[in-house]
Amino acid sequence: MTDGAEVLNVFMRCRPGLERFARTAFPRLAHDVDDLLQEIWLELQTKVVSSDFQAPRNCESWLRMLVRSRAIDRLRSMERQVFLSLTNTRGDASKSRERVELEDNGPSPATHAVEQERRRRQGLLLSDVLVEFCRWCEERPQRLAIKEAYERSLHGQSPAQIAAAMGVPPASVHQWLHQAREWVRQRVAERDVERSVFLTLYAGQ
Amino acid sequence: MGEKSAMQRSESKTPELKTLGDVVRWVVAELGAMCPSPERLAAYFANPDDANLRDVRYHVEEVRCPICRTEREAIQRAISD
Repeated sequence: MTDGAEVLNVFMRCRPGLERFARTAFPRLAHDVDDLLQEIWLELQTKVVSSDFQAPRNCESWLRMLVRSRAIDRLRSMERQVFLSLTNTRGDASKSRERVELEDNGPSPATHAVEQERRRRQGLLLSDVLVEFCRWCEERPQRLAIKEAYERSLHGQSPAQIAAAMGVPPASVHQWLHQAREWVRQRVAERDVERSVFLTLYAGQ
Repeated sequence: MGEKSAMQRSESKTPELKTLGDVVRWVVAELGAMCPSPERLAAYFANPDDANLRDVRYHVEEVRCPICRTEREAIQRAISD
């Protein structure tokens, strides 16, 4: 049996486990898992016949990585679709907002939709930048501490708490966080040239 | 028609994003934005005490990333089967 045929066999054998993995790790894709795995199956059929294909050493683990990667791609794609659908209706939303706000002093549904749209754009942009940031950190061992410190800060830890948890001087943490934030800020600025998405990035809003 | 339904379904399940904090939680916990590379995650599962993988340990054990922990459960299940 060829390596490619063996990979396809492993996929079929492990399919129930891959389904379970996708449903557990990505609950929002629970209704789409069959489609997701079908797409991966088709991708594999093309992949395994290409001349440069090399069967992975641990096929099952490799397949899970593929499922994970395609699931995240699909989630991001879903968000982009939703974002585009909101963008297309934004003109109508703006018109109705003026009308509705005359009758109600609270945030109107249209205002809420526009704000949700902005938050989605923030999320998609930030997601891409953070993934890129992680890969940048992983390129050099000395940058791994920057990644850990920054992730801790994203989860609400103060520099003092980070320093204590990582067993390093607070000055190092301040330096790492400054480096990380500056890296992220620059990438966001490059992509958000009109500053329409992240006007409030460092205002904490 | 089917595509529209799928879109509406996914939209209805998108979390409410009221603050930048909500956005950060969403991209980190659900979109896997801070997850380590698959190679480093696998290396961590193989050798959890590796000092070069302490950022992965924090992500998996303290943040309790659901995506990475499900990956570990799948590996453990595969080993025990």
